[in-house]
Amino acid sequence: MYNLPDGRGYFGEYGGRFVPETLMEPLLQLEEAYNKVKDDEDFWQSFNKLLRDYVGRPTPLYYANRLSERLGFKVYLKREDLCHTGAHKINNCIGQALLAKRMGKSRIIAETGAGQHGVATATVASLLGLRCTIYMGEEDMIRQKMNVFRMKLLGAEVIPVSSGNRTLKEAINSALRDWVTNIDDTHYLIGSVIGPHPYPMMVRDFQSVIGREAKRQILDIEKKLPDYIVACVGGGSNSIGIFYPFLEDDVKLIGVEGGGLGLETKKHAASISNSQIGVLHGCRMYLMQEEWGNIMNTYSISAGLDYPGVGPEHSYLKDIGRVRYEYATDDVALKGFEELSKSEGIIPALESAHAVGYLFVSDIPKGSIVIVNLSGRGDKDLDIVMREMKYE
Amino acid sequence: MNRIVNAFNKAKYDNRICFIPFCEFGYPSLERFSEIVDIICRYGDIVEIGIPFSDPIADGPIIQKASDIAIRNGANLSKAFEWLYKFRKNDDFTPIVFMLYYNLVHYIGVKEFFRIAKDIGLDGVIIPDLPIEESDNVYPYRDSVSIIWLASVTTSDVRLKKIVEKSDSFIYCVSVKGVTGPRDEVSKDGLDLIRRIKNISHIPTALGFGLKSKEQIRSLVGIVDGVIVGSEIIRIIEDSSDSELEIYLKELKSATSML
Repeated sequence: MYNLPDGRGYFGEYGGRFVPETLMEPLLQLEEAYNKVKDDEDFWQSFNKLLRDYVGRPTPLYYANRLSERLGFKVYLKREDLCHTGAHKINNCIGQALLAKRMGKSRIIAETGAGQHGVATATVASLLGLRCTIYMGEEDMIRQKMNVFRMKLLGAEVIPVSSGNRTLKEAINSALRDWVTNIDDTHYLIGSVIGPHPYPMMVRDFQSVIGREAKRQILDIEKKLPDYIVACVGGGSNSIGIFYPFLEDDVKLIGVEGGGLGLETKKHAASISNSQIGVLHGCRMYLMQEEWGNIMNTYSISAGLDYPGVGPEHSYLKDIGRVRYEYATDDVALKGFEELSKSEGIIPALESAHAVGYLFVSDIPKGSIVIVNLSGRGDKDLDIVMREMKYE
Repeated sequence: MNRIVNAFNKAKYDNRICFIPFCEFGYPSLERFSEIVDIICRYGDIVEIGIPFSDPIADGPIIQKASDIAIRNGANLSKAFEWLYKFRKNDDFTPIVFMLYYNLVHYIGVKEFFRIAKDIGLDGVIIPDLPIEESDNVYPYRDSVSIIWLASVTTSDVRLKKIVEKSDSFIYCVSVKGVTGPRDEVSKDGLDLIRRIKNISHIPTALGFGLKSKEQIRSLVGIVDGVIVGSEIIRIIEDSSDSELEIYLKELKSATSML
């Protein structure tokens, strides 16, 4: 039976806890607090109640009729874009914020790339009456200015990060530095299945509601499991959320990374396809690096995939061959973006558009049943797509 | 490792505590770095050299900036090893310790890292993002190179004991909750951490993170076995002349004496 991570936070040889000493005690406290609520019905009741009444779960599993006709196989969309705040990120935010409250923390901090996790964190902070600080790369603040305004409107402080590539990686560095300074009253609400143990496990558990619902729904509709599940992979939270409940089933799982301008150009964010292993932000994982171990500056049209690493559990699932990792370039993602908008009236987030676009270049056989995790909606990306597609 | 142990013994014999200045490899330039180390070696009992890394999460703005500049100057671990190899031809007595993030060790491979380190006369390493729980990754391969573990004001007594058990030269005591960078006072928690270590072990302790003035150092004489000064030195290298750096180091060094 699949039962990972182990007691030290490892998925095979990935994961662990590579953090400054000062953070070890808060991490151990967090792990203890999380282990305590794991079997606490009260906790999961509050969690599930908020997911239902506030987030709007369960999200529909929608049969994309016209898209299916074009592709020659049946495509179901798991509609995480219909979650409150427009993406799956909020599932994890609710879980961690409830836990932070239980731990007596009065302040939460988070990093954000596209701004979806920042918005979800700011939302949950205002819902539960917690102070909130969001770190965001200056480059991302330009790419996603509406989300910056949203966060401010929700009462969060947004701190621009101007170091390095000025994107998600640097925002995490800054959030870690804040946490190490303010551990007494602050919980660091990491938005993906990365970071030191217990984060990759905890975020996976909170996100796996996606896969549990999808399983129930597809069994209801099709009376059998799907042949494929496809999801985009940045850090990997939406994909692990939908994959996890299917790990022991006979279902092919495909993660789609951000291929940027193509792997040969080095301007991409496909960490697994890139094959290097390293340690950053607290865990050992597939990680894109320069010569001598500095971290590579990545690129993707989608800010949410623009990260040099990928969660330790994905790294493990790649090595054991349970999940197949592919990539979609910016162009393929833009095709997915346009096709879904035109054929189904659903404008996807650029992240999710990678999974949709992949369907058009994949080798999925005709007649298959495919679930795509539509992790977020595309409103936040309209500026970028307008520029890229030269719309007037 | 022996050079480090000797440095603590000698300081004790001289009624002083160890002075451990820090500088960043390749900062402000590769050539200037060599000159600066020569000055620092005149005053430091042990010299700590930071190897630049793109994502220094334990460091405050001063060392972050120095690290960025050093990377732009082409500094990396390979060049730091080359530098040390040459340095050891003229100086076989100053203990040299590298401070570097774990990914830099991981990149060339832990075994290979310690093999080279031992061959060229590196005395110890400080890996700020490698807690004792991850010690299995490095401990079996260290040979005669000391791994200097960090203990922090937040470290529990249970974990402190594990840190003490794996330490063979000194323990790097982090005096504050936070990142590197000068602060005005020595924290009470920092002093308490030293006391907690002294209660269970004779292993030397050195306090770092936030120290900058001779007054702070004087107040620590008799309490701790060594003091580490980093960010303030980087700041002075950026703003001032070599002679001003020398005056500053001289002042700090004299503050380490019990007399």
